[in-house]
Formats: sequence, C-alpha cells, structure tokens
Amino acid sequence: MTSVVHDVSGNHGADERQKQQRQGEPEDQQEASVTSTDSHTMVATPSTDYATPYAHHDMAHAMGQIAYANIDPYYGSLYAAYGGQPMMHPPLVGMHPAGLPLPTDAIEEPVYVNAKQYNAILRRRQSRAKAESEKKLVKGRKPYLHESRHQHALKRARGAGGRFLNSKSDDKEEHSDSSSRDKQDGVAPRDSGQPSTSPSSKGASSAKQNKKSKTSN
Amino acid sequence: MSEGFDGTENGGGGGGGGVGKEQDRFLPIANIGRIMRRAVPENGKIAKDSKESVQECVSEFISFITSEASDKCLKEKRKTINGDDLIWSMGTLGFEDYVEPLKLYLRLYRETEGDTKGSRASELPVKKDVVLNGDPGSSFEGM
Repeated sequence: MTSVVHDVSGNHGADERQKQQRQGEPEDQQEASVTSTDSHTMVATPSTDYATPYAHHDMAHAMGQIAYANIDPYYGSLYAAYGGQPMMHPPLVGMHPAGLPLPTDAIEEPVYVNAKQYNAILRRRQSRAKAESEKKLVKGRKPYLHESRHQHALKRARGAGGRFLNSKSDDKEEHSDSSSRDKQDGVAPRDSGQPSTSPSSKGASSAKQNKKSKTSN
Repeated sequence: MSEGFDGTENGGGGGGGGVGKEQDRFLPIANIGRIMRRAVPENGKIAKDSKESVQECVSEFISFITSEASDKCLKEKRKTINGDDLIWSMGTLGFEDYVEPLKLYLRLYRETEGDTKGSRASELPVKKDVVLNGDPGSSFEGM
C-alpha cells in the first residue's frame, strides 16, 4: 500500500517537472537517473555543465527522426558530462544550479527537483497518502458517471463504425461540432463511456453525448 | 493542519461533495478537451487517454498551487484563499514567469466582475480562473 502511494507520488513529481520545463525533459531525466555520477564530477567540470545544455538541445532536434532505442548511447555520454545535473538550464530564471534530492522508495537514483518545490511536493505526498487512507481517492476510472445516461447510450441506434445514427446531416454535424468548440461552459458532466474500438468514433460519440447533456440541462 | 489538507483536496478537485467521487479530484474532462483543442489543428483529434493524462496533470497542478496558498493562509490565520494568495504561491514555487501576467489578469477580472471580497461564492471563480489561465492557450471560462 505505502509503496504504491509513493510510486504515484513519484509520477506526480515528474509531471510537475514536465509542466515547468521543456517538452524534451522527461526522457532526459530518465536517462540521467540511470547514468548520473557523483557530485565530484560536477564540481570538477562546472564550465562543461553550463555549456552542454545548448549542444544537447541541438542534438535533440537533430535526432528527431531516430528511434528511441538509438538514443541511449548519446544521452549516456552527455549525462556523463552533465555530472548528474539534468535540470541545469541557464535561461531559466530562479532555477538553482543543484536541485534537492527527493527521497523515493524506489531503489534507483533519487529524483532531483526544484528546491523551491521540495517542501510543497512532500506536503502533497502527505495529502495524497491521507486521502488514500480515507479512501477518498478513486482507483482507476469509471467509464461513465451516470448509470442512466450510460443505459440510454447503449440503447441508441448505431451506424457503420459505431457512431450514433441521427437525423442531422453531415454538414450540420461539422458546423455544430466547431460551434461547440467556441462555447465556454461551466462545469459539464463527464462524457459517458462508449464501447467502441475506433478512436475517431469515440471522439465523435463523446461530442454528441456532450451536446445531448447540455440540451437536457 | 489536517483540515487545511482536506480543504486543499476538495478545492483543487473543483468542489466538495460526495466521498470517493471522480468529480471531487478532477476537472471536467470535456472542458479540458476543449482547451486542448485550441492547440491542435482543425482536422486533428485528441485521444481520450491524452485528455485523461492532462486532466490528472492539471488537477494535480491546481492542488499543488492551492496547497502552498492554503499553508500561507493557515500561518496568517485567514480562512479564505484569494487570488493574490495563489499568485504569491506560484511565485514561491518557482513559477515566477506566471506572476506578472496573472496579476494583470486578476486586476482586469476584478474591474469587470466586481470585487466582493470575503464572499466565498465570488472567490471560487477567481481561484479557478487564475489557476487555469496560467497555462498557455487557456481562456476565460464563464461560470
């Protein structure tokens, strides 16, 4: 139980770092956790740490077409130069050169986070653990929120590909879909789950469900 | 202290209510899909698991910011989290780039919507809008 909670906490920590930094960072951080070295290397080569991020950024762009399996050797060598500081980015204001190691239950290397967020992350972990103990957190996701709406969706007639049949024409359907994009509704009920294997039809069904629910309100 | 945490959970989740309900900890996924669609081309589609991932990230971000603001209010013996507390909280947690745009947004919001300080009903929209507007591409959502 406790380890499960901490695993979730680790993921949330990663999410927060994703939000704050560039899109390419998650993979880099995963690599760093595997290949990071001790602090002596970092102290020995401070100039290298400041110079490498740009080169790494360019290389990341150049390797956009390479498969993931081929990335490991280059990132490994790069992180050896980093000295175990994957989050060093001079352009970012307020970013401390050395992040604080965040304790985790995992056996692997610690995850480094922004020093300003360290205490808040620990507090959030406690909140989530407390909510978990009180069974306020729902494990997994229910495919729908309202049983009656789910039953209604099951009864509706469906055409080829699993989409609902209705009397509206295709052109009108497109127009209403684009108009719904511009609407700024308040809290809307979550879409009912659709037993369909096609992603596109799933999206379309969700849109129709959304429109229907708004009409009923 | 524990009461503050409970408040943080409920506030971040978009409103208290039943125990163990999905609505208590997540923003509505339909609204998140609409916001995400702004960054996608007209003919693009967004997979459901993408919306769910962003839903979890955004909801955790709200709880993260609100938890820091709640901690500040506890220390200052105040019971109401207002927009200024959330902006301060983002500055404290390393999101300095958001502080000035959000201060401008909050000022404009108060000028247009009227600032009834102390009223809980008016605080909730402020809190939600301020946090949501921190993400690029987000827009004002009327209640």
